[in-house]
Amino acid sequence: MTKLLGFQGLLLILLAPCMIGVLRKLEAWLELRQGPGIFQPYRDIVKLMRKPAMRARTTSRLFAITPYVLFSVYGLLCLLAPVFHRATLASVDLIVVIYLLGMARFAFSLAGLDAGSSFGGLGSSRQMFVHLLTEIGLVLVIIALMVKWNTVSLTAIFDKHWELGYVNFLAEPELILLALSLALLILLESARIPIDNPATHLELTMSHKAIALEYAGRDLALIEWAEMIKLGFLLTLLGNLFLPFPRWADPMHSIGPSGLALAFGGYCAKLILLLLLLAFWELSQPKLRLRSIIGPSLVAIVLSLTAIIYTITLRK
Amino acid sequence: MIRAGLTEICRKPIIELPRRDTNELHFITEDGDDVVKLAKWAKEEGFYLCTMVANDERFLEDHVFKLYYVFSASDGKLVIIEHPLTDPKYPFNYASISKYFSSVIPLEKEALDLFGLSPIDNTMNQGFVLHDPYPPDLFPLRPRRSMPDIIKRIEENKTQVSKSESIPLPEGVLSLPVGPIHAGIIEAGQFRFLIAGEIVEDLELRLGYKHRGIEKLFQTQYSLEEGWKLAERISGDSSFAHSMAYCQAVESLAGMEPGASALHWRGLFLEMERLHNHIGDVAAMVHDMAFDLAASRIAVLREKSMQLNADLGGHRLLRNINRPGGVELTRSPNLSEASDRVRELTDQFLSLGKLVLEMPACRNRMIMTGVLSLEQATELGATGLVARASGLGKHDFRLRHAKGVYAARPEMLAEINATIESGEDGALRDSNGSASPTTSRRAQVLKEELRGDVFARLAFRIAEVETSARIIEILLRSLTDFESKQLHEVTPLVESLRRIASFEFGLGYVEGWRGDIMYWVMKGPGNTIFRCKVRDPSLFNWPALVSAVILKDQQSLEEGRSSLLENLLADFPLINKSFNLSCSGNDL
Amino acid sequence: MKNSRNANVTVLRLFAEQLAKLILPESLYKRVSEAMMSNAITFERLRLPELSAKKRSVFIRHLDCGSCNGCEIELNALSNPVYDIERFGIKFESSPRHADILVMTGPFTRNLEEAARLTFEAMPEPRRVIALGDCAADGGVFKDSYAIRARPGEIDEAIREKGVYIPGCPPTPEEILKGILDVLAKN
Repeated sequence: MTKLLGFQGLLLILLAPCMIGVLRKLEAWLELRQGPGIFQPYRDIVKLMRKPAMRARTTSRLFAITPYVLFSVYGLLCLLAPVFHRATLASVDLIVVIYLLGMARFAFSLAGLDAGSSFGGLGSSRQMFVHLLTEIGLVLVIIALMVKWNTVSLTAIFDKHWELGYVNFLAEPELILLALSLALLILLESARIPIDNPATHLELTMSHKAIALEYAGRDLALIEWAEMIKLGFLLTLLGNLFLPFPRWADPMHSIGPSGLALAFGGYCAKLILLLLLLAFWELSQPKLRLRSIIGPSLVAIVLSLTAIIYTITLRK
Repeated sequence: MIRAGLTEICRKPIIELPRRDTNELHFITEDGDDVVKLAKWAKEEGFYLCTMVANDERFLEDHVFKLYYVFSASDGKLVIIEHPLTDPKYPFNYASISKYFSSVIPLEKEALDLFGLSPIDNTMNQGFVLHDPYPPDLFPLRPRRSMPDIIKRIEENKTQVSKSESIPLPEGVLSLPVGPIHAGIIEAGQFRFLIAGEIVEDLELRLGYKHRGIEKLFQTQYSLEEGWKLAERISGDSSFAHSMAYCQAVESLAGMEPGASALHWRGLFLEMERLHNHIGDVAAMVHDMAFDLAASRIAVLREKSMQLNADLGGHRLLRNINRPGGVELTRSPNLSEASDRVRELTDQFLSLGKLVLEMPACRNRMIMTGVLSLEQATELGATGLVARASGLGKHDFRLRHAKGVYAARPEMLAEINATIESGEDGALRDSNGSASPTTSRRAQVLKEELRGDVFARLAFRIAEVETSARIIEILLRSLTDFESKQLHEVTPLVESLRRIASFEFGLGYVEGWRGDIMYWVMKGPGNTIFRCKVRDPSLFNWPALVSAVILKDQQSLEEGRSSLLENLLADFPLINKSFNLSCSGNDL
Repeated sequence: MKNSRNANVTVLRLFAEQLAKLILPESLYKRVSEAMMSNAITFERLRLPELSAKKRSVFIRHLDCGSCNGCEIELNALSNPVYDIERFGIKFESSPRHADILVMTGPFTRNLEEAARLTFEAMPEPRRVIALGDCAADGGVFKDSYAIRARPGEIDEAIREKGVYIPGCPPTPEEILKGILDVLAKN
């Protein structure tokens, strides 16, 4: 059973489009629209999968394999991280997480340059700019967690946070700072408002989409799906690290069917809460000016630094 | 005053011709140097260039090409300078006034493509509206060239000379062509950016993609009575303003004015058009900032105003209403209900507009983005809302050259004046000393906000929506009281047109929502159109957009304020949207 | 400072309005919103049962071939909450490579011929094309102009075989939606 649970990441991969569907539905509703059904992303992906992947004649193999790289990197992340149960295929370092994210972004930026279109290059440079800003923040979050718990293992930190429970959690201000910091960094990393507008039609403001413009059919489906998985993974990470289950529920360790059901239900509830927050946030914020992106990333860095200093000084 | 100034300046005697409209002055001068001197003087006097019309009159009595410049003087007069190209040395060349009025350049480029006329001392390249598919010596607007003949010559064209110029790039600068087909649902036109990183160093426009040969169509396929059909399809968002300007030109030619209720209807629909376009523009700008909470709600209000258009005028874009001689409505609209609907939607719009103007992150994106300074706006001859937002607050043809219902109802002009907050606008209020319209106004532009940035243009749009809504209410009220609320009020023009000699011309001008639209219509034999020159405000504002985007202000560079004023590539769509210019009106 | 507080309050009010509409029964919601003196925007969403019945995924790309921008206004209107085209699974896309349907507006000017052809060719098969508006059908008021040319044969064929003409100057958003439905039914 535990072995089987190791593959819980597959569930996240499969459910990610639905999660995006829910997010879009929520946002549509706040915009007074009805919006597409929550399963619309599946329909889009299936339709794109059926279409041929047209590639420009100028592109190399690099361009062709990038969608697969993206998909497998984000898929791997899902498989390595605990989703609704602590059992995973392997114990994973947070550092691995950061560099897998970095690798995906690097591959995607290269693909943008490879296509040789004017927007691809523009998108690549913006992607790298944003990643540069997030990477520092993410490393600092990890250092803070390491200083706090003397470990960088994802599962170990999960356990610590779960053992802490909610009441004690609130008594640890550095963790709250870190939660805010990570939330900001997730907005940056997943290219959502106020950093980038995933729904834009304006080619000059695009960052992620500028590169995706060159792809078609199957390739595009994989890229879109990979992006959904990425957001799903990041939200799961945030939820599991900083919204631990209540101690009495003990779902993270349980194996029985009722325990698993409870764990899954709790996980979904957490995710929906985060999606709701994300929807509210995205609608209440306009997109920032490209240069002002430094602002939120600086805030994230300062928050993590404060958490580190707080932890160190308090321990002594 | 103008007469004295002109005679004083010119080397050769200047002839004045009589005009039927008292606010139009018509002068003829054959001397090219005099025209340039006149232009210098006009610039100093603060004239605004309305249009330059090139005309091939080689088969008429003067046997030459002619240029007609139309200037708008600040005292409400329109000055027409007719300039026959009589110099036998230069039958196709003229002295350019672009040194004083740079807004004439696009008109000169047009004249080069369509007539083969060019400035004497200036080498200009073809290709403004006629791109590579056209042979270089086509000159389709010369009246002897018939449409089938022109088409035959285009189709036989084998010349493969590329008309687009390529400029050598400085080091470290990348050229980024965008368009002509764009990713969003917008019009076709090409922007060529020169970028260094994200900063826009230079921007080159290439328009003309949508050239449809409209001026030739006026000459060959449409009669004076029918021309409105074409006019209202020049730029869809300004359908009513264009057809109104056309109709006014024909009416001025025929020497008549439509009845009072027709004038009221026209004023009403002109403001309705302003209302729905301004609301739509605000929605689009807010959507570009990705603030969809407000944008989607404003989009609903836009839709509601378009539905109101359909209920009042029978068409969502207010087409098929104007006729030379009056208006024709298909059904009797419910005026009091319309008044409620306008009030409700403006009310909702203004509270959302306030939200956008107050939102710190929105302000951050808009303030000091895409600045078109007052000097630049004056220098480039920018017009319409763009010029007003740059500080030329009174640059509004409704005020400068009030015509029709605007001339008859001073309280409407007071409302327009009240768009900008200030206490000293007594100039137009003295004619009607009634209550100050500024009371109970919800949106006004503050004088210090008129910096010419995106924020100023947005704030101005919001304030103008309120102004228009107030004017609409005034007009709806008086239309309800009107005893002769006729739906078909078209005074037949055929008789009076027949009495007018051929090759007379008439002017039509309207302050549309984008700026002033000017029509210059010359009658041919019978009821044909010999020449119809259309000038959409976009033509003057595209160059203004370019200078708002690029940083050429050497002084601020030296003072180290450059980072404040340079624009990022990612801000261009927002700046572009804040101008919201029409390609189809520009390309014709 | 005051500005930002006002703005935040308004944003929260808009959220609260939406929440109240969701949670409260209709009669109560009306009373609450009247009591709050809120001028909540109300409108009737266009009902199109024949379009909402089937679940689908359709990406549309717009191509301007010299229109007067009237058709563009109506195409843009399709995205507003009144028509809300996305609820039918139809979406406007930014690249011809992603497109299932190409919507052409305007009478096809000579200057745009090359760009239009390239866009059409960048679109994957099956190329379904909608000719939107009167001037896309036969040139409309611009019919006899020298600047207008016949569409290239392949595009015309795509319209005839796999697409539709939607007449109107410009067609209303509702007519456009119905036209899109026709294209989908045809294939």
